[in-house]
Formats: sequence, C-alpha cells, structure tokens
Amino acid sequence: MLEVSQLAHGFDREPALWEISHLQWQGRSLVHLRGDNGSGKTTLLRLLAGLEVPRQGTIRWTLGNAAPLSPPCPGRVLYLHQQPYLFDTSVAGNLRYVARWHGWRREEARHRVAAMLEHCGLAAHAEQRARSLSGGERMRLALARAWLLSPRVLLLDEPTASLDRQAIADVCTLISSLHEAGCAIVLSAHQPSVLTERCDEYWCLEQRCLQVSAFKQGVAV
Amino acid sequence: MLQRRFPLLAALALTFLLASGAQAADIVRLATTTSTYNSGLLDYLLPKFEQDHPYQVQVIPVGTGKALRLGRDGDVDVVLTHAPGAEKAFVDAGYGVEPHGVMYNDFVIVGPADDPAGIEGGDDATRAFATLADEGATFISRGDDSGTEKKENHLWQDAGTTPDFEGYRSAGQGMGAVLNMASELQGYTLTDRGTWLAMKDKLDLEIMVEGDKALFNPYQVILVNPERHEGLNTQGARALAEWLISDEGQDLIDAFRLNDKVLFHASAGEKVDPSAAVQEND
Amino acid sequence: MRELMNTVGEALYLLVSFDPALWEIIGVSFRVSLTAIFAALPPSLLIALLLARVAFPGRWFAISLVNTFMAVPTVVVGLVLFMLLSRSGPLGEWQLLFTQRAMIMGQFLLAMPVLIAMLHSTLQSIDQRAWETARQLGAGWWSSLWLLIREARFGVIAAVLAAFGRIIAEVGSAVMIGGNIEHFTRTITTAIALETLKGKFAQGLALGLVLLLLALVLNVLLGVMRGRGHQTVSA
Repeated sequence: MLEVSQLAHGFDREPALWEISHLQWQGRSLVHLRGDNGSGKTTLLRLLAGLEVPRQGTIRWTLGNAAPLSPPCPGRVLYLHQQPYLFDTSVAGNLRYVARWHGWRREEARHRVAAMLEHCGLAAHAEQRARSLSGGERMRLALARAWLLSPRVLLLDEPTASLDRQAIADVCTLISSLHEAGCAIVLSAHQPSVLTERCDEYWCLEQRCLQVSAFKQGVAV
Repeated sequence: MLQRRFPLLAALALTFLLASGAQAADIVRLATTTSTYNSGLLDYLLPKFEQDHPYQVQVIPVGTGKALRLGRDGDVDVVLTHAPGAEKAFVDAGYGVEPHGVMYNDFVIVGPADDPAGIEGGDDATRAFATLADEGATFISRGDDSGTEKKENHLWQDAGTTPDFEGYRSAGQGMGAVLNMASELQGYTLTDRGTWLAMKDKLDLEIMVEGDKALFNPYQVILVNPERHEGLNTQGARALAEWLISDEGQDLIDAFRLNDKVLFHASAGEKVDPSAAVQEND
Repeated sequence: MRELMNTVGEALYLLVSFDPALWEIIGVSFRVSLTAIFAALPPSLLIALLLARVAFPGRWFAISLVNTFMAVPTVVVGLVLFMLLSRSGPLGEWQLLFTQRAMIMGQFLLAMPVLIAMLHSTLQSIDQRAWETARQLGAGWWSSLWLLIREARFGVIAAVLAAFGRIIAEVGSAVMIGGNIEHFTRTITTAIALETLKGKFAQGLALGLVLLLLALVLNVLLGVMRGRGHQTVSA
C-alpha cells in the first residue's frame, strides 16, 4: 500500500509543480497517470521510486507484512525511464546482471533468464547486443529485466510514447500479463491508447493537484 | 603597416647576417671529457684564449668514447681526451692528427666513510679493486665508455678479475651523476680528482685510495684529420692546440686551482710522475 | 649515408636476432611501466568517479589541478622524487633511489593525472540512467560503480593506453630516479638518451624503432577504442 501526505516538489527554487495533500493507494490496480506535458508526471513517478528526494511531505510504501518504508525500495518498487537504459552487453547479459546482483546460483540464474526471455518473446535475440534492438524490443527487454525480480510495483514513464502500433500492442500485452501476475502498475501517458484503455484507475495531474478516480472497464474517458 | 615594420625586419635580417657570418669563420668545436669541463678548467682557460685569438670555442662535454666518435665523424674540429689506448687507435686509423700531450691529473678511488670493504688508506689501486670484487661491494661504474671507464677496466684486468660481482652497477652516465649515485647507494667508485674536488662537499663519500701510479691520467689534444672531412675549422683547432701547449697555456694550467687545490699539471712534451700530483695537494 | 644505412641494418639485426642486452632493456621498460599503470588505475578510477559523479565544493578547482599536473614536466616529478628518496631526504630510509620501485613510483605519479583526466571525461559522459537503473534493480553501491566502469570500458581502455604511452616514452624521471643502471634500471628511453653517448647508435636506433612500433600500435588501438567509445555513448 502507498501512502502519500503533504507531498510537494519542484526544481531548484521554482514554485512547486503540484501539491498532494493526501493519497492512499492499495497497490493492486493498473493506474493511468494523466496530465499535460510539463505537469510533473515524471517527477511524481521518480519521487515514488525514490530517485528524487521530495522538497516536503512523506511517501510510505507498505509492502506485504513489512513495516512502512520510505522509497527507494530496490527490486520491489521499480521505475522505468521513458527510454529505458539498457546495459551495454547482450540481451541475456542485461538479465544476467540482475541475477548476479542478487546472488542467484549459476544454474538457477540460467534457468530463470532463459524462461524470462522466452516469456517476453526475446529468446531469439538472447545473444544480440541489447542496443541493437528496436524500440518495442527495448521496452520489452526492460520489462523482462524488471520482471525477473517479481516487483510489487512498476512505475512506467510513457512506456508507449515513441512506439509504432504493433510495438505498442506487444508492450501492452506484456504489461497486462505482468499486472495479472500480481504486479501493481502506474503508467504515465499523455495520450490515450490501447494500453490506457485497460487501466482501471486514473490519476490526473491538473491545476497543480492530483485527482483520483476509479473507472470500470469500458468506460470512455 | 608593412612600411612601419620594415626597419624592424631589416634589423632582424642584419642581425642574422652578422650572427651567421661570425659563426661560419670563427667557431672552434671542441669535444672533451666531462672531467675537464666539470672541474671548471675550460671555463678558466678558454676566455683567455678567445681574448687573444679571433676564435670562439664551443665545448661539447661528453665521455671520451663519444668525443672520439664525434671526431671520427667530423662533427667537431678538435678533441681533448684522456684515454691513451683509444687515442692511439684514433690517430693510427687516420681519424686524428697532431696529437700532443697537454697535462695530466689523477684518479682516486672513493667510497663510503664506514668502508665496508676495508680498502681505505691503501696506495695500491689494483689490490683495492681485487678486494672490492672479492667482497662483492657496491661499485658504481661509469659504464659510458669514457676515459674513466677505460681506466677502470684496466684496473679490473690488472686485478685479475671481471666486473660482474654482486654489487657492480654500470650506470652509463657522467662522472657527476655517478658520484651522486655512489653517495646515495653508499658504494665505491673511481673518479678523476677534478670532479671529486668540485663535488665532494655535496657527497657522503671519502677518498679511499690515491697516489698509485696506476691512477695516472694524461690528457692529449688531437686535431680531427682535415683530409677526411670538409668544412672543419682546422686553423682554429690548431691555434687552440698550439696555445694549450705554449708556455702561456701551460703556465695557466699550472696556475688553475679548484678549492685551493692543484688539479692539472701541465706536461707538454715531458714525462710525468703522477704521484707528484698527490704530494702537492697533501 | 653508407654509415647511416649500416646503422639501420645493424639495428634491425639486433631486433630480429633477439639480442639479449636489447631485449633485457625492453623487458625492464615494460615491467616498470605496466606495473606503474596497473597500480595507478584503481586510485585514478576512484578519483575520476568522485570528480565526475559527486558534486562537492572545490570540484572545479580539483579538476583544474589534475589538468595542471598533466602539464608538469617529467624531470620535475623526477626531481621531487629524487629529493624525497635521497639519503638526506625524508624517505631516504626506504633506500629506493636507483631501483625499479622508485621508477615505478615516478611513472605512477606521471600516469595518474593522465588517467584521471581521461577517465573523468569518459565517466562524465555516462548516462545518469545507468546508475539509477542499477540501483533500482537492487545493485549495491560497489556493484553499481563497477557497472559504470564496465559501461565506460572503451574509454577506460583508451585512458590506459594513452597513459601507458606517456610513461613508457618518458625519460626525465627515469634517468633521475632510475639512474640507467645496466640490468636493473636501464629502460628503452634512458638507454637511447645515455647509451648513444657511447656511440651505440645501432642499439639506440633499434630501441627507437621499438618505441615507434609501440606508439603505432597504441595509437591504432586508441583510435579503435575511441570509435567504439563514441558508438557506446551515442547509442
């Protein structure tokens, strides 16, 4: 569960982008974070991931039975950049980094990496240089790399912004199955797409405030 | 703009003309050993020569081997060196002409004050060298094919040993650098007395052996053979050589003092006794 | 002219016949310079990371200082080390003067500014996202640092090559604190500088050819690394 109170943030000495007096989120839904360009969507996601320290206010994640935590919560609450950063190695190598950081045994790592690549449709590219992938494949690799850790929450910054229709469909499928596997997701997007249609909750940054509304599937925005 | 600059350009051009004109005719290039140069003898002699002669002497201080090589290649006009064997070969091969003995000084064996090899106070250089080899003492050799190294190699030979014992170090550098190194490493070395006197205040070393005839060190002046190379200033070289062995030059050499010590003994045309040098200083 | 041709021929013969004296000198050079470069790399990497990644007061001054040290003539480094290591100097008890270790210290000091300056610029060009991504995925502090260095590996290799080229070709400090002692501290450059005085032109030329060849190899590799480094950054 996420609890935010009295949160405000802005760059340097400029006035705050927005102020969120209170937000409580159960951390199960697929959330579409809306807002115009420059409304501070990225900043909010980075704050929730602990990549920025808020100017004021508190953010608390309660994950499972553990005590509430301030971000960052590495491996459990993950932020993905709009252009995900891929390590300069092979596709499989990107996943093996994660395996090494978490001290998985060699056999286990090999097995899980191979299974994940298969699951995300990247098995054919396993030994290819990660940076030679297309935009959609890059996003899928970044998702696969994150999924390897079975995170509780993914914070996706404009995951479909620069992708073509087919790539959007592929990424969309992957995000849906991640969600079904029990990972809560907040994704920002300034335009509606097949992906945002699947969302079951909307957060909207408007007039320097965050409006939260729950929608049922199929309701038009 | 150009007009304004013209006087400056003209002045520059004139300077170059004068300078190059002076260079072509009047420069005598002398290759000599570091010992004569470091001791200050040449700085003392040459201005007096240049006063009375229309020549300017450029000194190239190197080891004897290199000095003779420069002479052989015609890169200098005249050499002043101290390696009788190599000089004889130089003249016999026709690289040099008109060799004249000018002066002599002597070598001394120096080493650390605590004298780990126990050679201090002897007057037999050959036996001292044999002891150094037996003891495996730290010994810094010039290793630069200089007259000093040639002298050193003769001494090793006479001592019936080869310089490959444990403490032997071949530095390939000049006398000053080798004395510094010997001081830093607290080792022994063979040095000409001139460089030793000039440097001893800065060194942590003492004289171990001196006065042996085997440490005799004669200097010769030799003209580079003008038939082998074009453009040599043989006239100037000969003037310098003749001046060095003239009464005036010889008297000046005898009058030269370093730290109030006699260093070089004029010896043009005479047989000399090296032990005299030591006695005069003591 | 014939003399020159003879010398060149003799030099080539010394090289291809594996003249032991010649190759011993080359061996000393490589041993000293390689040791120095690998000793200098870890601290240089840490300092460069600090300069590139951590904003602290006086950072710009520190960077200027590094660039200044890069311009210090090698003889000055030699002089300072000589005074420190001399029997009358503060570190005289170590008895390091005129040893390979002293030369390694000198080359270490000469390599550091080059390494730091080049590593600084290469680490600076690494994407901030690399660090963030690694930390998000649960990499520890040291693992993340190591990742940054791996991401910048072509730049790192280029820095090592450039610094190696500088120290193996330097003569000032090598003569002053090494002393050109045969079998011990005689390196390619000190041999060229001092052995040529003995009239050993062929050996000097042969050693010069080795340095020339080395410079060529280093520069080709450097070109390749720079190219790949750019690819990495722009990708």
